[in-house]
Parts: sequence; C-alpha cells; structure tokens
Amino acid sequence: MVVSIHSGYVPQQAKIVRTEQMTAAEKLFELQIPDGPLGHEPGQFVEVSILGVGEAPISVSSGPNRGPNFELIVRKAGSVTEAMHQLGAGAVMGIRGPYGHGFPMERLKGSDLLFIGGGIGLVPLRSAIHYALDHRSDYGRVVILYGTKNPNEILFRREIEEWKQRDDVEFFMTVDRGSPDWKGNVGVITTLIPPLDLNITNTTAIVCGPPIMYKFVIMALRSKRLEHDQIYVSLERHMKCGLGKCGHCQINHLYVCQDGPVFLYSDIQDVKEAL
Amino acid sequence: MKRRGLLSQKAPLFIRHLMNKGQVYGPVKNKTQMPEFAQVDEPSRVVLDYTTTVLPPKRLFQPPEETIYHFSRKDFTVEPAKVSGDGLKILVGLHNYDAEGIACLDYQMARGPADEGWAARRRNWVFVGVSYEPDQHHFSPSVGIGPDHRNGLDLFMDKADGGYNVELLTERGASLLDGFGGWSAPLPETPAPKFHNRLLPMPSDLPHILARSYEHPIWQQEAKRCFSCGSCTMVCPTCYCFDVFDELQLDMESGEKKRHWDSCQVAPFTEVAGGEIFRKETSSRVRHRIYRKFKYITDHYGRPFCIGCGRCIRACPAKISISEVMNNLARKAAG
Repeated sequence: MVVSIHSGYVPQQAKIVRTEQMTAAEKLFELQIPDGPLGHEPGQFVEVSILGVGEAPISVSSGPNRGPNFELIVRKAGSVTEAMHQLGAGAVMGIRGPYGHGFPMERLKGSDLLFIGGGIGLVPLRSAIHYALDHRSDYGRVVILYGTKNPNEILFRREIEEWKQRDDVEFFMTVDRGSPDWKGNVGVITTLIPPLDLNITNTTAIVCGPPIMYKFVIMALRSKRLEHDQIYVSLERHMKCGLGKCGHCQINHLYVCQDGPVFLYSDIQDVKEAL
Repeated sequence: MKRRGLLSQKAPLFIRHLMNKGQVYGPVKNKTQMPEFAQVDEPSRVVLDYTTTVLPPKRLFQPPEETIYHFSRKDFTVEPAKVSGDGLKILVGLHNYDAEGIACLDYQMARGPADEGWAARRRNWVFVGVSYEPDQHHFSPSVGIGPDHRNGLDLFMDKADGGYNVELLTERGASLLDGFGGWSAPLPETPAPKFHNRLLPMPSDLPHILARSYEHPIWQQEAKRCFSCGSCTMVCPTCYCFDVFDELQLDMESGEKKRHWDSCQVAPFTEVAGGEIFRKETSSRVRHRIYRKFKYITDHYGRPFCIGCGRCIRACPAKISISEVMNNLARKAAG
C-alpha cells in the first residue's frame, strides 16, 4: 500500500480574470477558483504558488461578499511576486488556503470601526472595510485613516474617491512626503489620530502597516484613551507552510499563520517579538 | 517485568530474527566515529554500544529533504508525494531519550493541521531500546529521562554482564520475540550508568527561569561566540522547522515542491519580502532556540522539549552548551 502525503500543500488552480497595475510596484489580481468563492474571512491570507518559482503568503484584499472571485494586491518584492507580476488575464496561478485568523467582524457588530492602514497595510484592511460596508447597518461609524510614503504609492484611488463621497464613511489620508501637485495632508499617519473625535467606549481600531508604524499608532491610540483590547493588529511574517510547522512566521511561542495574522493587541502586548 | 538474557554473541542472531519480522533500522556503522540511523542490511553492521548518533532518529520520519509534490507547469498538474505504508518497521538500538524525542515530535506534528508526512512515516513502527553509557554531555535524567525510563519503547535491551537483559514492555514488543530461541537466563546486572552533565533546576522550574530571563545579558554573551551556523538545530531531535521551495528540472516544465530542514539560528530565517528580518540579532536567535526547548512548547506540552541528548553541545563549533546556559541562568536567578 502506498499513501499520498502532504495533500495540505496541494494548490488549486486560480485563473486570473483581471489585473490592474495600481502603482509602479503593486498590481491587483482578480482570481477565480473552480469551486469559488474562496470562503475567506476578512484578514486571512492565501499561499500563492508559481510552479517552479515558489510560494508567497498574500493577504486577501477583497471582502467575502463581493461575488465569486477574490482579489490580491501584490507588491513586487521577491522572486515569486516578480513572477506573478508577469502574469496577465487568462493565466493561472496556484492558491492554497485561506489560512489563519482574520478580523472578528461578527464580534465587532455594533462597534465604531477605526481602520488605520500604512502603505500596503491597507491591502488586508480593505477586506474588512468591504465587509463593514457590505453590512453597513451592523456597525457604527466607519473611519478610515490611510498613509503612504508619497502620492505615487496610493492604492485603490477609485475606491478611495467612493469612500470620500459616502456620507457613512469618514476617510482621511496623509503622505509622509508630498509632491508639487499634492494638495492633501503631509505627515506621518499618527498625525491623523489626535484630531479625531471618537466615541472611545465604542470604538475598535484595526491596524495594519509596516513594523515601525505599530508602536507609534498604538501610542497615539492610547493617548486617545483607547484600551489595548480595543485594538486589532495584523502582523506580517514569512509564512512558508501556513500549517503551523515550518517555524518561519513564529513570534515567540505564536505561529502567525495559525494564531494570527490578526491579533487582539492585548493578547500580544507582552509577546516581545510581536511589534 | 519479564526479562530474558541475550548474550552479546547472540545479539546479531536476534537482529537477524527481527529482520525476518519486518524492515529493521538502527544505528549502523558509518565512516565517522558515530553510527547513523539507517536501514539494516547486515546485523553485524548494527552498533548497539554507542554514545549517540550525529543526527537523531527523526530523520526516518521527517527526512532532511523530502518531496511535497511533483508538478508540471505546462498543464498545471500536481501529484502529491507518496510513501509506502506497508509492513512492520523495527527500530532497534534506540536510546530512551531518542524515543522521548520522537514522542515530542509526535505531539507537535499533530498540533493544528497534522503533518501528513510525519503521520504516514510514523505508522507501523516497533521500538527496541538499548541502554547506553553517557559521555560528558548527556543530561537526560535532568529532563526526566533517567536510566530506567522506558516511555515509547516496546522492548528494551538493558546492557548486562556478558550481554543484555531484554525487557518486554508492550504486546507489540512481545510479538517480535515469537520464534526466537537464543535466550539465556537473565544476566548479572551492571551498575547504573553515571551521568557527568546535569541541569541544576528541576524540569518544572525551567520555564519559570526563562520567564524571567528574557532580557538577561547571557543571550548577548552567548551570541558573541555563536557563528549562526545552525548545527545545533540540525542535530536536535525535537527541532522540526523546514524551508519550502521549488526545484525545477532542466526541461523548465516539470519539477518538485520540496522541503528541507531549516534553522532558526540563521539570520534570513525570519526575513520577509522587502528585507525586514525579525530576529536580526544573533542574541535573539540564540534565545529563541533555548526558549523553544524549555518554555514555548513546554508551556503546553507539560515537559521540557529537550531530551538531554547533548547533540547540540557536541555539534557546536563555539562550544555553546544548552545545559551550561540553563545552569548559569538558574544560578543567577538563585543568587
């Protein structure tokens, strides 16, 4: 008798339905799987596989209620993502997952949501923003703070315009360094926090950004009197197996691929390697 | 306990007998001083009296490198790897700490989504233990694995005067003895082995010592010596981290998804796309290994995730000693 092993690693074929170059480095892929939808929670990730090149963990950027397809926004940053960027509509990539714990959207019902996204940190947040907007009456205020290094790195420009138009979304953004034609805020993302008028007892902050950002955002939220158990963070690590085994995503005793990538801040504030 | 004598000169006959029962694996002679765990083709090549092996027996269940699946890029076909599930496999000459190391990984590989490779390769094994003479590095009794420890073993060959006293521990073990006629009366026992290395704290105190040692200067001190070579993790019976990668054939069409052992002691281990390395300091990696052995997994496993084999100490080119580190921390905590 011979038994097959490692079925958990076998990817399914995902067909690229549409791509969109969002910035010089980031490209959107709309993907379709045979038995779609993907069935993900906002904040979960998939392992994308380019056969012969390798795999990369990529967070799902679209909400689960946006039809049978799903979207990934991929920054060209390594061999796998570079190979992905060469693919266009009609091409196929491998997908396994979704993996991990996402944002607890069910538990957050009734809460005001404060999304804080730095750079491509907005990519995983967008799946939760979609969810909140698709179940708009289930949530209180939806406030979105978004910061990028410069205006060239702004993602989701069309969608941001829609968010700005809606009167049930409060959207604020800033760039670290402006450009001659930039009319908006200039400054780091934490500068957007002090002016906010929040209903502190009923607000949940959902934060994702580069490692350096968390400390300062959490400090700013603390000075707004937000408690540690009102803050969710989504952490980036290199999940290679997605199955809680390979060890690459480990922060102290936690496996980000299984225990995260979304954590309640009060659960990890004493986990030294987390932030 | 049922014991029967086995004279040294009869041991190869016993191994020959086992080879008729199933595929036999054990510590076999190697070009190096230490034997290595491999399939036995000839009983005389089995080394029953040995200090330890370089690589632990986990290699039989999680090979240093293995195929996850075969693929073809042309039509996107993926064919999972297969292992043979048939037949009894007998691992003879296992030290009791190594059986405990396998038990550690049985636990960890079954947590969350179970590792299918481990589970499939672990089926149908019978473990025949053997006693050993510790060298200056073994400290197994300090982690609860004393000379009388038999957990996970089916038979045990206890070194005695002129041979072994074979202990029958499980029914599976008993089935291996059917048809072997080479027994003698129990042999005179030899004195219990003396251990030359030990941990000062009790096993249950180890996680508490680490709980208050995170910022201790010892990690910086050890890091000054550490070459970040990863030898300690390569030889560790309870390390299981691996890298996942693709290997493309020269036809540029077909290939394999593979995994091989990886080490948290090398800097790129925690690197993400974009270049950030989350355990950049050597000291943070040195600390991570020790915490994995005595705190992180121990907190839910309930016992140390280190079996005291001393392999990491023997393998370290900088002579970093896990027992010395823990003893220094214990002394400092006490003083």
